[in-house]
Amino acid sequence: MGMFRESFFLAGNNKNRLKFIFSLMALRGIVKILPLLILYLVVLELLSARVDLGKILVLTAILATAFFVINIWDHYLALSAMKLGHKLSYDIRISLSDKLRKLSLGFFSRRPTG
Amino acid sequence: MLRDLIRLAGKRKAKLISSCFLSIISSGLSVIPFLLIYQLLLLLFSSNTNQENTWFLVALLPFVYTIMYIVLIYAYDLSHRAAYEILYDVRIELGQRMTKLPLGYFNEKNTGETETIMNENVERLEFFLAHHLPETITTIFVPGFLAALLFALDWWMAMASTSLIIIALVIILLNARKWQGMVDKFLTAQSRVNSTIVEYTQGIAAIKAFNQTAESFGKYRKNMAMWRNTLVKWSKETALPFTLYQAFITSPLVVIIPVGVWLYRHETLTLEMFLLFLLVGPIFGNLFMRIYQFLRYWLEEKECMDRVNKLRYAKVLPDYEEGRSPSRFDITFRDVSFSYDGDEKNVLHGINFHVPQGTMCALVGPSGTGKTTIARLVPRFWDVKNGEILIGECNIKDFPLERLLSCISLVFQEIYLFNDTILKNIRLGKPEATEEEVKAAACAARCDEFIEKLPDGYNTLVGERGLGLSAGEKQRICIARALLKDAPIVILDEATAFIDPENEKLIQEAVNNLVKDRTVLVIAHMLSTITNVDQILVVEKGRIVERGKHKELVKEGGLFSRMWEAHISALGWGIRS
Amino acid sequence: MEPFFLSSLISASVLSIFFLILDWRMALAAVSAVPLALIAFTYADRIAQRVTKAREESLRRTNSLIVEFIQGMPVIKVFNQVASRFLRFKETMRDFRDKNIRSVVSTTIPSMVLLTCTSLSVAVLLPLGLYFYFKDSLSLSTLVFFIIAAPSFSDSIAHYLFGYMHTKSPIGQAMKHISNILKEKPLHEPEADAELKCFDIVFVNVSFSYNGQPVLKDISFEIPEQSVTALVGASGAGKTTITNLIARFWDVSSGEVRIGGKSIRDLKLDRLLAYISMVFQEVILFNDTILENIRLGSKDATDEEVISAAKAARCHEFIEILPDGYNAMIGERGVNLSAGERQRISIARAILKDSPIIILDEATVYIDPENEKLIQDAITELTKNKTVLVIAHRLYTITSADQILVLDEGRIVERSPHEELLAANGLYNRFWEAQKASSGWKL
Repeated sequence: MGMFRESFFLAGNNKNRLKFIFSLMALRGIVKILPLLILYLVVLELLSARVDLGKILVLTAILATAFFVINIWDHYLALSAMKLGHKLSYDIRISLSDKLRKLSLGFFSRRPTG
Repeated sequence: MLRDLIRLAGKRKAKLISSCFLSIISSGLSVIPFLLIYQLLLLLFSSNTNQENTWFLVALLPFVYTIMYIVLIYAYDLSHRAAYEILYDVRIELGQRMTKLPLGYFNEKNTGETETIMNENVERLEFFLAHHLPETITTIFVPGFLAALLFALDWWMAMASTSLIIIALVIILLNARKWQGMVDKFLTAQSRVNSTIVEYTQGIAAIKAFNQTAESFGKYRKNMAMWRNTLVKWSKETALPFTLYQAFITSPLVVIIPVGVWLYRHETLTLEMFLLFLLVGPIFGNLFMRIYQFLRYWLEEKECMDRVNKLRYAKVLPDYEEGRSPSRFDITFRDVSFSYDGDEKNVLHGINFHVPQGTMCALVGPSGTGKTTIARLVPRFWDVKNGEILIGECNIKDFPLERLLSCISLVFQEIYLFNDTILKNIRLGKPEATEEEVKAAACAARCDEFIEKLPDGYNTLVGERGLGLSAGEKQRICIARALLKDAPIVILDEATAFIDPENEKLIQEAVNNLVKDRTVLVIAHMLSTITNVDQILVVEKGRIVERGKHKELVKEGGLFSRMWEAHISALGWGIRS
Repeated sequence: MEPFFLSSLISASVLSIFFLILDWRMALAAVSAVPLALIAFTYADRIAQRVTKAREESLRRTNSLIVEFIQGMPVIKVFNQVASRFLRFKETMRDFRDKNIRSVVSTTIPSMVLLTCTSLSVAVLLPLGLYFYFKDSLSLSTLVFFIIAAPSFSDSIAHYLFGYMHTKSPIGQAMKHISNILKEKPLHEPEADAELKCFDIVFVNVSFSYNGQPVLKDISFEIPEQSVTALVGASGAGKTTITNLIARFWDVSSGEVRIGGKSIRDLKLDRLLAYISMVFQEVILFNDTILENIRLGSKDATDEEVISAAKAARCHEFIEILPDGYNAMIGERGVNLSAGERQRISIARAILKDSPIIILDEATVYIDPENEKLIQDAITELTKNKTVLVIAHRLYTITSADQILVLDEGRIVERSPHEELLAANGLYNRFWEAQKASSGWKL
């Protein structure tokens, strides 16, 4: 969990955005198991004495919709996560360079450039 | 790519191939659990379930897993061994190649690049050979075997399971043509960012002194922003095909269920089989997730392999093992022209001169006119383009390089000391020298005084990790090296940095000892030091424009006399005098 | 990347809750694999870390040996040391190979344990489920569902653990490094910003140590406004350190540096640096146009101002004949400038900056006489009406300086104008004689 704390420290001003992405990710984790639930219902139906074809087809339709939604969700989530990632590392680099300027030059002989 | 790989593997081919083979076997084994589960389902749904058989199947399952993992890990072990052995071979081969490259190859740019190739790019091959190659094989073969199993079990259902995946693969293949360009773009942006950062950290002193805050240091910011935008654009471009791909490979169930129900209703599919496909369907799709990743790795690693191979086949200097040594030591240039590799423009044009044995010849001229190039052609840093260079009566190309170099001492501006003791650094001049001889050379090079003051004397470590010596001290150690070598020809870049007066005087004394009775070619900067040399060559724009003794040249009223006047007036200058 | 691991973690937890609803015994069995996997994971991680250390040590050695081998190649070849150096190269490479192979061998068993544990849920669930099924306490449909869902469950866990391990090493380390730099203490800066009216420089009992070694010992001196002071001494005597302390590249260990009567610690860093121009020994030019490189001196300068500074620094002539003139790119992808030209560009920068204090490392590399003359002209332009501190190498250039400070091992041993120092017959006189002798030197 230390890792999460560290990333929030680095995020600085972008903290809220990062929180938003994190919670979307958590939701994604929940949504991801939706297909398994539907699968469970399908199995139940198949093993029941009298198989109701219509019900299975409805479930399949729900499954397809779920996949569709998940993938669209994933697409935008991945995009915004990446965007945030790039923005973050950009901000970090800028603030790092600003920080370097404020440190005494002695710092650079203690630490190899690179 | 595969051909390059085999070529790279060399002697370790067998190991690499057997590792691949083991990966294939473990892929095959990974399919068996599904078969077992199918059997299990058959048993469970049969009217009178045989408990013993079921337990047997269940016990078999972990057993198969264990064997599969053992094979897999053995394959990894082999591939790692092969990888590190190949890495070793490649590095040794590159090291060997390096000793055969012309000295001129080791300029600043090439040195940096070669370091990157030998360190990072070779290292990167390890990822490829040890991880990505076997993983690629499993990612291809596990789904392959699984598909074979599915088709063997039920043709229609197998079609249903694979249909979406085939669509996904088609999407990726259609996109693959664009991949190279995209990866290139990404790598270019990345390398530009890296060089900006290096420039920024190295230039931090100037940035501080001129008060450029990060905000106003526009270029840094601009480059970072450019990098960010490229990446954002890049990920946007790649995101859509990726999402489509992912969508198709994760959702085979959507096809499997309706097709299965339909076949089940028509009694052409058993319930057990249907359940098996329900189990395999999602797993099967997931296996394809990583292919997308590997495509990118392969592209990047191919780039590394190309760079390594480029160095492996770099042009070496033609050389002989055996041959004679020079017997006389005059230096003659006959109509020498020269241009750097890949450059059309000549740097030197028709250079002719002769330095008799035991005399001194000075090269003077504005900076960047070819003085250093002339001096470096003698020890074959590069080979001439036209004309020839003779030592004694013989073309320098006809001596074995080792023999040629053993009769030349070089004292240049750039000084390189190894991370080793001072003693060993000086002894480099003559490995079999006794300690007394080393000390005598140090004495003649006026090093002895400061060395004896050091905590460990001659055994003090110098260089990167050792003690920091001043520039003047380093210079004198280099001269001691050259003195110990005692070569009949000396090529000298006249001590150049103004250090402090006392150091200066010591260096001059050391140089005097070095050039005594030898054939000397000196690149001169301070004109007053060469008023007594036997001949002066004035070089301008790659040609010798004047030649003669100091007095004659001053009288001639040409470039040399202008330089002489500037020199005299510079001597009289003072800050605010 | 990281958020995706979070999503795997959540998936696994929600799935186990769902299991719990279906059948608590089976859910417990599925979850039981988790602590086992965790234990195996920490075990594997610890072993990996131990071997990795030895491996990294070897890697570092390999890298630095390769660098030495390549950079030292000209020397190696000229002194015919190829065979022996190559032997050393070979040995180090062999050591690296062997360390690596050993590290692989010793991580083999832990990674096997780890792999087995993550797939354990299947191995545990199946027999247990069958047992309950035969005892009629589990319905067939639930059993089938568990068989189908178990792989997804262990996939999620494995994904999380492996992902975690991955980020822990390189990315995690990088994050730590970055945080450390961001947390590093900057130089003390005052809240208030004050302007200076007068620019004399005073050192009051300044001592400075670097890496535990004293570099300057109790230095006191005064540089009156608009005067020229020269620092003279052997290399390593502390000349450069004095100049660096004025610009606060470091802070003094004890004592105080004052400018215009104010301690420099009470000045804003930006403000202080705005008052000082430094002409360095090594000239740093950026991969940019000549115009921009000079404009570094004063970012709001117009093109005309840049050009007139370039003229004063005697750069204009050589810049004009470049194909792109002032817009020529410098550096890797651009034009190559000679050392003298680079030096003059750095002087042009300083002229453009027009600050009241000039710190000068007297042009140091002897290039060629004509360049030398131009650099001298440029310096004459630069130092007009300024407070000047110059690190001198050629003593004849400072014969007319207002005062000369002679440094020896971190102390000021003599201070006076040139003529008086000669008469004092001390260290300075010795330098002067040595220089006279060496300038008469002939090959």
